[in-house]
Amino acid sequence: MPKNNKEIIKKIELLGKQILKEIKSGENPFLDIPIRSLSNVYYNPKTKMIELGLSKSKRYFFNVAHIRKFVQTIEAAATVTELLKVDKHLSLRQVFYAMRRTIKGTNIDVVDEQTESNQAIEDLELLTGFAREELHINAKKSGAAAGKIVIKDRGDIIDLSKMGSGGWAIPSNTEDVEFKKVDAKFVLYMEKDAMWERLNEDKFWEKNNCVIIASQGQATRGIRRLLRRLSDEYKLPILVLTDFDPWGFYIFSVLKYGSIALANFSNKLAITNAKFLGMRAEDIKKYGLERQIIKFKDVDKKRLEQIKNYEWFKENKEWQKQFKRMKDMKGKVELDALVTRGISFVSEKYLPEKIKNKDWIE
Amino acid sequence: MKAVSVAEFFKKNKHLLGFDSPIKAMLMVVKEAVDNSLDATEEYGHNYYKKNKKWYFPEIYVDIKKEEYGLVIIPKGDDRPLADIIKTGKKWELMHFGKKLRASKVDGNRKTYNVDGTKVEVIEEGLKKPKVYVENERADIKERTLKYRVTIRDNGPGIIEKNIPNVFGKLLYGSKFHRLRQSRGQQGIGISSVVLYAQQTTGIPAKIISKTEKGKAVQMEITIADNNEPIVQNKEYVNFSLEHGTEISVVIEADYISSGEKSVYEFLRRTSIVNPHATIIFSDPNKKKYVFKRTATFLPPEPKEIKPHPYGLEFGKLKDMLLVTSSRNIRSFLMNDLSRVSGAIADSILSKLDIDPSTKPKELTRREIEKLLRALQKAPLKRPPTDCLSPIGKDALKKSITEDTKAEFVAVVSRKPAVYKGIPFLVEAAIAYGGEIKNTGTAQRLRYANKIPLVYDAAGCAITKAIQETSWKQYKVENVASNGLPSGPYIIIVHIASVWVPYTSEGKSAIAGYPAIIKEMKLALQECGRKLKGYLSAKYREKRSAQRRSLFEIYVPELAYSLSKITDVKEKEIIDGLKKVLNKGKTDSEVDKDAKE
Repeated sequence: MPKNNKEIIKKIELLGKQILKEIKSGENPFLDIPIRSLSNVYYNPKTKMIELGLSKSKRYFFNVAHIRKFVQTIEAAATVTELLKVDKHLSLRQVFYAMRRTIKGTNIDVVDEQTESNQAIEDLELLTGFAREELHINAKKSGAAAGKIVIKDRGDIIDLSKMGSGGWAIPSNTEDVEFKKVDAKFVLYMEKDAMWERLNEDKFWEKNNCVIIASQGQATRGIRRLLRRLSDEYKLPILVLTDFDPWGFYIFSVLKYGSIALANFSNKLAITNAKFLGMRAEDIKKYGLERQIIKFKDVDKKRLEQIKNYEWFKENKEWQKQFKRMKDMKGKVELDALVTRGISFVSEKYLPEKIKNKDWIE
Repeated sequence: MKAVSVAEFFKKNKHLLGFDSPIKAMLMVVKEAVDNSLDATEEYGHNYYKKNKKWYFPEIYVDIKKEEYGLVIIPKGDDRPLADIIKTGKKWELMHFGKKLRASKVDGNRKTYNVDGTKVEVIEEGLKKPKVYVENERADIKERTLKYRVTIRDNGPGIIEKNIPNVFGKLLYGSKFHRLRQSRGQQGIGISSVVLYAQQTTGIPAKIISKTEKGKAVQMEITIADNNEPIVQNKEYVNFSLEHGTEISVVIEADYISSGEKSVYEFLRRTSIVNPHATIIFSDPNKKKYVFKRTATFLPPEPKEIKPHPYGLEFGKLKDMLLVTSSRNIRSFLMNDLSRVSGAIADSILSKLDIDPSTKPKELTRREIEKLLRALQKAPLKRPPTDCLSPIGKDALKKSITEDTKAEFVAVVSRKPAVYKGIPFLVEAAIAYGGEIKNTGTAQRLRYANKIPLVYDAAGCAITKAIQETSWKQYKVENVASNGLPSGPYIIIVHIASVWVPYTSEGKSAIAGYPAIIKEMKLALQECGRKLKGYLSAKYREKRSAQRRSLFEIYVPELAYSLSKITDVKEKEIIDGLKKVLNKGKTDSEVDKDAKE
């Protein structure tokens, strides 16, 4: 059994012992769970991360409103203990089935829906301080990587420059991935698979000596952890490429500052020196994309307004300039629009020029 | 005693007395007779107790029979009946607007009639229904009961022979008209209007049998002349099944319904609830018998007669009183015929108005009466005495309601007497909940005045208003409709007792909304509500607590199972520990805390 597993099992056991102690002293047993709601999440300007506050809520066993969640949390802990002992992994869906059983003499199941087991796992993360990947629970894998880097994953040596057209499928748990040889000088993360396909076909990573990583939309925890480790362990600049719209901005925001939902893991996931490469307001004029502007809908307008007021963007003049120009433009532009300038325009001109000029926003 | 010639007037104004629809007419006949029977029998019962120190209880028989069937002819393509065919003996006869028509042609079993220019042929076929052709087209015929015989009998004191014609055959005859005493009948119109209604709809005289303890049982057939004088058609001495009592039997045109608020059955049931000292036996037109048994073991207190209080007087009333009084002078009239007027007050009023105290009451001028009334109503008088009222009583009412409704909870409140416009009244209210009470949506509302159910005009009644204005939500009633009426398995009962119930009309079906009356009703209902709340809270609490406990018990082994896996402590040990905590009652009742998550 890996050393890490033992440590986690020990932590969970302590949690159980604490409950037993309460029972023994004749008290209503409870769990002290950090509150995950917005009221207990704040931006820490010192660390430049979104962090979880200190508020906790007591979850009692003998309480009509709590009892079910209490049992689910402990059942999740039991399931994880078993996983760690045999050193196997399960998906969120499989954990749901592992936890599911009918309570004797009733028609009540311990968990009815996956949202319940998912929540129990999140609670366990908060109680133990270990991310679910460390608890051997995987989400769907998502995203692809290619580039000048060699890694070791579950004993296999993988050269990311020899991954063909599909690239390396990034697992949901990247904690145990070892970096064997890192030649890349930077990492380019993009929110669109199609863009990644373009750059991979054009061998952009070879010409520019980098790693390219993509996932559809928000980066998974596995990707975020991988990026963070490359940033921490090899000081590689992480460059981010998204659409020019509020949703793209938010993808960058999550990568750099962390998210509200995972505020407890910002210290493991946030990449504080990530850089926003594009698309940006200036690009539209510079590359003549005015005709490609897609008109704002009400939701876009509202989202922009929210993002504009995020504490971490408020003092940032460069970002506020982007927001204002987007607001004036009343529209958004997709990365794919660059194709209007030529099939390989993005890999041959747009990106190399930007990177050379360090034309990014911090 | 005073006779008013109003028979002719009431002929044209049936609705004033509540005979405006066939269903209502049936109910009014029963109601008026039962009113009288209860009043008379109770009075007898009190006198009996004074003499014998034993109780005597009212027993009332109500019997409704089909008297005459008929067939209604409905021409093809029309939905209005054209005429009736009535079977008298073996023959069928055609009736049109209450008149028998003579056949214009008889051809064997085929008779031809002319009904207002329409040709109608009736072909008799022995015992079967006849075939009817209207203008040579086969018409529909429907059966219906045209006339009912309604008989009400009581075991009361009986009426002495010479008074019988006036009691039943003279409108506004009655000892009740000029006295203030809590009784069911008030104006002395009721029973004679029943006689009049029978006379007008079927022409058959009312049959009265009465026997006093000492007298012989006498039977009379009575109608009322246009000048409001009784006509006795047949008088004979008969055998009567009771030692004493009175029976009235009338044949009326009316509709009988077997269930629902407006049915005779429901009326008698409701009457029996608030008259637990009476037994009511009902035989319906299908000869089915219902017995509403007495549940009380004593009579309610005897209502005492009181004199009118000046604050409630009106000009006409005062004028009438001055005419019929036996007081010799105005001073003694004020002191003896009115309530709460002392000699000193009478003297000061008379001297202020410059009226000679020795003036004969009859001799006061119109102006003097007006001035006197105004002065009386401004005088500082004590409230009228309130011992004149006869409540049903909290315990008797509770027992009766519980018996009738088989409710799981009954709250009863009997308020102290109060006064509106110088007239004493008191309110009793009750709420029955659950048990065998069906949830039929809106709560059943039972309205009563002087122990008689009110059936019609619910919307215009002070009782309905008081129920709507009570905030039921506050008393744990879960569902309250937007009109303020509670919804669920509830029966709400409100009873007002008064020497003069302020009805909104002569039909006596709704109480006028005097603020003082609505206030008393609301106070009574609120008090019932508080009792109900206590019961419902305890019930919900018990239910919740049982639910909580069983919920906890279900999850104890589950927690032990999971906890045992991560701590290697035996399941049984954990279960025992958790059960100890549960039995110590160390549970968290603050259910809402953090529940939002």
